Amino acid sequence: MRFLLRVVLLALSFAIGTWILGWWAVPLFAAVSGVLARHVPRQAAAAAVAGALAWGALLAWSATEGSVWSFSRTAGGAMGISGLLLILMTLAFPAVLAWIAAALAQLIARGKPGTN
Amino acid sequence: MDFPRRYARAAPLAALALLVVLLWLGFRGLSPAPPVGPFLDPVHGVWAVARGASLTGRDVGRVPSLGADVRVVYDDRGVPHIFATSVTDAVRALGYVVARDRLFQLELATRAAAGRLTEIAGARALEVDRAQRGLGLPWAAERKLAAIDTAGAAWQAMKAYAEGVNAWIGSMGPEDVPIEYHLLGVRPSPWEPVQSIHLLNRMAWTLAYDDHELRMRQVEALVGREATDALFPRNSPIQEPIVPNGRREPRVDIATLPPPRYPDAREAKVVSELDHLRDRLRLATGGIDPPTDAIGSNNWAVAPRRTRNGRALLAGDPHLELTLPSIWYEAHLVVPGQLDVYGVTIPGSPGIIIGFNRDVAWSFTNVESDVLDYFVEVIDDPRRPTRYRLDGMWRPLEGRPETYRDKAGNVIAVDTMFYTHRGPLIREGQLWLSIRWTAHDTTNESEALARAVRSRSVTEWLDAMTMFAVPAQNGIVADRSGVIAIRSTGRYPIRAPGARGDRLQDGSSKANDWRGTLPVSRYPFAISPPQGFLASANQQPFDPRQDSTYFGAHWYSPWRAMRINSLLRADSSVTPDAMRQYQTDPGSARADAFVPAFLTAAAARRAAGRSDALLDTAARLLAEWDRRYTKASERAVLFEAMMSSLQDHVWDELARPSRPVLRNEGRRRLRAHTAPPRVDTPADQMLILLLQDPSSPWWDARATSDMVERRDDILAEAMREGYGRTRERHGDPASGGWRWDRVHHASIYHLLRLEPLSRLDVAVQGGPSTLAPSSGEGRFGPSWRMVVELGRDIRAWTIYPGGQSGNPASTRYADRVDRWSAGVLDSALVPHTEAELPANRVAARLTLTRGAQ
Repeated sequence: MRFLLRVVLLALSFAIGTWILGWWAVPLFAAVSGVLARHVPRQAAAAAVAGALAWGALLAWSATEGSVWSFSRTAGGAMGISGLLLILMTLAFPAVLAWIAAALAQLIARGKPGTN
Repeated sequence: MDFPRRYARAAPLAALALLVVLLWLGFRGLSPAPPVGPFLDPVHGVWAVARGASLTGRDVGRVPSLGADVRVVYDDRGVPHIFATSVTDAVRALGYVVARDRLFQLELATRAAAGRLTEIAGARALEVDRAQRGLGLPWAAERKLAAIDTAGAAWQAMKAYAEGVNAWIGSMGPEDVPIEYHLLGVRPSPWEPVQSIHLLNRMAWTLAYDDHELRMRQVEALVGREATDALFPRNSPIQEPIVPNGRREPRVDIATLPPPRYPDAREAKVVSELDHLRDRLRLATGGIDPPTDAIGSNNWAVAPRRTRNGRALLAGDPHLELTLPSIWYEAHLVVPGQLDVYGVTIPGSPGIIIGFNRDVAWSFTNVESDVLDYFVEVIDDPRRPTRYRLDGMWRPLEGRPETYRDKAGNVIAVDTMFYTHRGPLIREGQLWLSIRWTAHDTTNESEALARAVRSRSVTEWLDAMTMFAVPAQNGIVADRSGVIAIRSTGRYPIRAPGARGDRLQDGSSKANDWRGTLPVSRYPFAISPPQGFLASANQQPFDPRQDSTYFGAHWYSPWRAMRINSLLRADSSVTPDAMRQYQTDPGSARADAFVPAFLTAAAARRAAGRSDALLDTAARLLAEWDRRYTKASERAVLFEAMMSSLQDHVWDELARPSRPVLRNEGRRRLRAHTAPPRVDTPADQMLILLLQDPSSPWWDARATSDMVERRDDILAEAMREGYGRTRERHGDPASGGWRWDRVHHASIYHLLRLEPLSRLDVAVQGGPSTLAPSSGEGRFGPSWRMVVELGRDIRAWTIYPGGQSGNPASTRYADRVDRWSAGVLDSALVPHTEAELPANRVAARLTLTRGAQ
């Protein structure tokens, strides 16, 4: 339950950060969360899930104002990839960024690698 | 997640490396792919484009320089009707709405014309930019800007347009940034008035640039001067001129073609050198060679006494490259008491180009006049040129540094372009050529168009257009009083006595320079002729027996002109719907001319007992054709294959010697299945002359030294080959694979040639040289169709292959393509006031204000 709560809070911060600052808010906020929750287990995993969730929610919001699915095929096609892959990349990119940023930040904040 | 102990040392380093890589990809990307972060960002990145696809019901925009608020109402076809209180405000609003729908197109077209594509596409566009700058158009744009009258209407319009475009750019949200910017990883640049000049220069380049002299020099190298003059004559052998010559049918001026000469090795080198030069110059188009039987245009007007409703009718039908978004943008500008004009603009041009107002309608076709000459120059030092020879003296070359920058503004190349007093200097090997071109002159087409759209009669329109210089256009015009007129308006050079504009000229003598330009009174012109209609289709404007003034030498075969004139002659009660049907008429004067020749040759072979099963079948299938390029036609493809084969055989002397040629295998059957590319191909009308001369040496194939072919041998062989090729490619004649709509399509490519953003394989009615021409890959064709009836209330019907929006996610991106393909025209709404627009036809409203949003 606490994990879920962390995911939701992180996703909210990522979404707002992306909205106001841009994509780089995701690794920045994830790193901050890693520092603040340096001893909390699975914080990096929570950040990863939150990253995908935040951008997924923003995509869903875009879908309310336009056809995201058909557009994904157009935009993906223009880049030589499928629409589904473009959507997956959009979800995976913030997830991986958040995961690594949070994990590294935890590590540095604790000052000793590989321990809680 | 924590790193396991056993990976305690390596994992953090690996994670750090991965983070660095991801951040690098996020911020910088891997060229040519855009930076991944801003691209995938669902709020500001490419996904935002999907949100900006629709027009919002009511919107407010801010244009700080407006004098008063402007109301814009979008109808259900996406056409903005702009209601302003001053012309300047209307133009500001036009800039705003065009940028809103077509921002990337604005930027791409003008960057291409300015030779600055590298700034959005990087070093891969460098050679294209070099080609464009080498032609001197950016240099000319700067000269035109420096010479412009800043108090004149043209400058005021360009400035107002720029204010509108920049107001839109300044107010854009993430969802307004076109997808192409995301794909290229760049941001929109502010718009400057000079870009409107670049845009018009681009049109000049599209319509008034020709490397005819270079091609003629190549042909001369292969077959000799006398044969070249005959194959590419100054006057069309088939005369169906724009200015009526009093005849009711075309006149064929029969001439015998002199035999070809055999080339020597030195001349073959000329062909190869000029090939390189032509390839380099063609880069400015992305390497596309428009087919002459699918580019051009039609326009015609019918006087009230030949129309059913007793009102003048006018049709406009320019044929250009088909792109998405389209080259055209439809708009309506209303300023009570001053301006009420409807039609199409080219994004970047501060006004309507083809269209109508309440009194007058007009359209254009290209004159195809010769307004560009190449002069062979002598340079002091080919490695470091500083001077050129003129009248026995050395004169300094003007050097102009050209700097090319990448997306980040870094310099990626610096060249020096040289200019003589005539224009830019280009080089290939030891050959130095300077270009004298009217497109480099300080002309003012914007001013002409700005005045023309406000004219109240044909006379006023013609007066306004006298200052229109480049590209020379056959401007057809009709007014409400029933007057119709056409004039080939442009700037036509007067050359030195004996000088030939269609051949390379000696640049070492000033005596060869242009001597001035023709006065307007010498332009081809006709007004309300007795025949009751006027038409143009890029054919020679004057019958040379009536006026032998040199306007050019590269005339299209007049097949389209013959067809439209024949339709108009046959119809003394023309309706707007008939005008619409003519625009997609599948009949072909070319097929009417050649099919009988093929069939006669086959019959002659049969009568002489020299036929065979293959030829008999080919003839039978061809005879079944009604000579119409309908979508369901199953024989048009056969005829085209036969024509292609015929050209391969007849013009084998024009094959490039440096590339594979027909081998003399001493065999009686010709082997031309894969004919080598020709340096140029004479117009089809030259084949009509040859058909009258069965034993002309041009019929003889160089590949078969052991026999001499005559006309019917070649026609029969072309039929056999055409049939064989068609079967090979499209299967059995009864299989359904020969249907025209299966084998031939219009290909409407996105501006960046991105196929998912293109509409390919669009079925069309029409083929080479029909009124709706389509040939080759189908990348050129009717780009805008308009029919206007000039009554007390004006009525108009329009279409173009595309849609008003440049956003591929929008329903307005390509919504007109299917109707265009079907030959349908939409009824245009032309309200006097905002209130006149039916509520159920209003898609969105926009108020432009100078205040805060």
